[in-house]
Amino acid sequence: MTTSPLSLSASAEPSSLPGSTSTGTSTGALHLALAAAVTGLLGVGSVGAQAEGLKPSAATAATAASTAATWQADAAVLLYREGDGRVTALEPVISLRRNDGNDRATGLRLTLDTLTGASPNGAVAQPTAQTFTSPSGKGTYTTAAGKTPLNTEFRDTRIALLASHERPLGTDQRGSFSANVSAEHDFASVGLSGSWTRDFDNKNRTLSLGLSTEFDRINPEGGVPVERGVAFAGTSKGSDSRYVVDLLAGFTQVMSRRWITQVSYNLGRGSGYHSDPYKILSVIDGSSGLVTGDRYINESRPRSRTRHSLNVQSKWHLTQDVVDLSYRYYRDDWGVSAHTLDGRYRWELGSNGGSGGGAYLEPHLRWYRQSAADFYRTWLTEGGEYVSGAAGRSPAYASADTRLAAFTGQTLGIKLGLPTGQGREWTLRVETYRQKIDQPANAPGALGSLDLTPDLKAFTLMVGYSRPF
Amino acid sequence: MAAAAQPAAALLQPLPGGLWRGSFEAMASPCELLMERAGEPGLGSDDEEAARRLLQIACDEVRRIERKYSRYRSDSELARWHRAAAGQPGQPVQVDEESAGLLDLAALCHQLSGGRFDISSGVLREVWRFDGSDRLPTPDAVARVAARVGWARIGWQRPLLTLPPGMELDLGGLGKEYAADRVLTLLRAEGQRTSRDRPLLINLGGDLVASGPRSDGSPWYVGIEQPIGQTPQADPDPTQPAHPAAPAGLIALKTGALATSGDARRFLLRDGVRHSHILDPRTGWPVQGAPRSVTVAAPTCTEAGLLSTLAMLQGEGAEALLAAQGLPHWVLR
Amino acid sequence: MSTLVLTPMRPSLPVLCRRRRVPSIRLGLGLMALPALLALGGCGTLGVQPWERDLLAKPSMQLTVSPLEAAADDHTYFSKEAATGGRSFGGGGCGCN
Repeated sequence: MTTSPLSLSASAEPSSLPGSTSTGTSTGALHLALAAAVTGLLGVGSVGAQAEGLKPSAATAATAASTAATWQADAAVLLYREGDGRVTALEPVISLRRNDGNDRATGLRLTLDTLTGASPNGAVAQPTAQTFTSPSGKGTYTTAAGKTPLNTEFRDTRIALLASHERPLGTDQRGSFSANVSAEHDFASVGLSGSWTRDFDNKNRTLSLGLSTEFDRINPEGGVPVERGVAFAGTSKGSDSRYVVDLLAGFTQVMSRRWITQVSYNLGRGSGYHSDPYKILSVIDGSSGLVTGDRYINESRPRSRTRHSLNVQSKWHLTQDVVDLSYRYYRDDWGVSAHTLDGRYRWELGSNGGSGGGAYLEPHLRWYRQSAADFYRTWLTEGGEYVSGAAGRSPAYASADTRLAAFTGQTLGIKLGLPTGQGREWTLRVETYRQKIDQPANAPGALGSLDLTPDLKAFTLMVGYSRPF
Repeated sequence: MAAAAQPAAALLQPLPGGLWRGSFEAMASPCELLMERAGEPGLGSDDEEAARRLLQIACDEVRRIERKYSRYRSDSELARWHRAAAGQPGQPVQVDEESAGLLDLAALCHQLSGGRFDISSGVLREVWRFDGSDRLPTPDAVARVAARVGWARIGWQRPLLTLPPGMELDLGGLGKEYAADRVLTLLRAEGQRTSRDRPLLINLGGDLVASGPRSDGSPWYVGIEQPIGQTPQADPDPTQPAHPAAPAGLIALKTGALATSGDARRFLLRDGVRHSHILDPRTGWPVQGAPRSVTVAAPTCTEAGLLSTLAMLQGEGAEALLAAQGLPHWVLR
Repeated sequence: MSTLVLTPMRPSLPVLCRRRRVPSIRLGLGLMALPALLALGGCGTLGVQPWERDLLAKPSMQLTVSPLEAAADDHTYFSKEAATGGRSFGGGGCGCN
């Protein structure tokens, strides 16, 4: 130690002693948090250092154990609208969550979903008008020349209910359990899932394991069409089902005071009916490009699907703003592989040190690219893969659903968050989504001059409100 | 400490260097108040009267806080909480604003320290006796008493406190430093009321806070020495060379506070392993690698005291914790 | 002072320093602490201490800030794209539970 008098000035900004090195990351977070709290306790003037300390009141409120139960309500309305008179969805959702004061949380979420509009039926555009029988078998609809056929009888209302409960299991583990049901006029689904998380190393590392199962009953209008059978032939069985199991493993790591990252892996296996009962494929002549022979057949997909996805997410806290980046790699045994890049920048507008109490703007960019499924076909060629007639042949699996095509998706959005005090917050989010589907190569004859895979353009508006009570 | 029926009155005496020194006993510690003199020390002078009044305010405030939160008095507020918890298990007791502030601070420290700072850990004293001997409690005994520790199990929602059966609170880790800050606040208010704002230094058993520099701008010089020779035992730790007495040093304290945690004399020695008297409330066992003492300088005495305690509880990590706070500190190992 | 003061301490007191006479308080003047960051950075330790969770505890630093939005997005993309999954659990962030 030095023998000369050490000058201490423990005022607002206590200077370190000579020879001490100031550190970079955790510049006195503890000191700041305590200083703020002690100031409150003594009721004296500001201690001066208030940059990013915890709000003592909030912090202590959060640690208070076995307090009274608290409720949190979140409500939102989503409007999703595709261009060219395609699908419009209106989706109100309300969620209630009760914390009993001992960190046991029970939640209930109700979602309604109204879909109207038109959806591609899988047939390819033709130089002349095409007429199709509607799925119910009760009517017909006609598509203009040069246009991608859309099933205009597309209407659905979905109601979904999710109940969840989570609780601590001892000091560093949590368990959660949830059940969900969802029903549409032609589809019903029930699911159960459970997860377990465990914290290590002072909550700096968290391991999560989860298992979820889902049972779906598909009961289409007019019954389940015979796969690969001639479309609109009226042959069908009543309904079919599908069973899906998902395994999830997640690993979260606190990297520093400002950086947290998570890696998660998801393995899913579905078995049962995976086809879309309303989707067909066109059978066309290999030189003219016009529909021929059986003209349209029902699509067919494998009765099982194994999916893998690996997701990496990182969030960084800058001075006030927060950067959120994630990347997902996906592949399945249908031959689809996909990359997703997602980035958000939360720009704190308030001058309150970004303590989470101010308004913010959050631009959002998402880029998505997938390869086509092995059995994706824009059409089937008569005499090639497909031969019409009773003694004909067809590929084991074929689908013209653009969800299985190769395409690039781009999302561009911005969100405004507007806290109104006491934990209440309004959010407004506007996004555009665009799918550029790869054009099929070697379109024969008349198809060469048509846009066979028009881009999908969609617009999303979401308004949300949340408040505790 | 046993509450004396009639605590001794505070003494006021002049010191060379233009100071009044008031002294009194409270919180089992010698307490003193150094005040700058206005003029010569004439007995019965105005200035003496004013200094006496300040000393009385200080002494009354420290004793008030001691009475209110003493573990040894059946008429303390703390005892009232414990009685209420025992009398009506599961029923909350309402606490006043001041106590609520202290409990909020304790809750914050519990959170910030990941559970290492815990004002419910006092019951561990029932099995741990730190007298330099080798009498360690049995693991069973520690486990039994550790089961009665844990702030997370205490219901605290300002102003309602719910203590589970068998649990007790002890604000000893906060009381003295809080009292020093409170005294400074009161004396400043009195100085403003009488338009005689004089520089002063409050020292409650080694935890001290200064109102500001001396009138001529010079700091308060605080002498430092090793806590050696204050105990009849020599340092009985054969595994370590005795600490050489640090060269007597001076700290020039202009404003702010100093507080110290730890006591090099209190430990258990077993199989050559020195068990510090700093217990980890999460386990009931001593913190590994705790320093002998930690001193921190901070704007307020409460903060200095909490930081020094939190550093002790970090064990090996004490220095790392303190270095990150950017405050002057001294660690004795 | 420590939360566990078992025996009353009686430190001697700081008084005004008079020349050549050193009053004392109980204060060990140890060596200055090593800079924590060098220690941390040097061995590549990850993670933070409980009191450094002020930023991680903020709502804006949770991995899923808005469950409703996340659910809506999952639902939308599920109906338009082949890839699903990847979103996982919370964890790691909050010092509050």
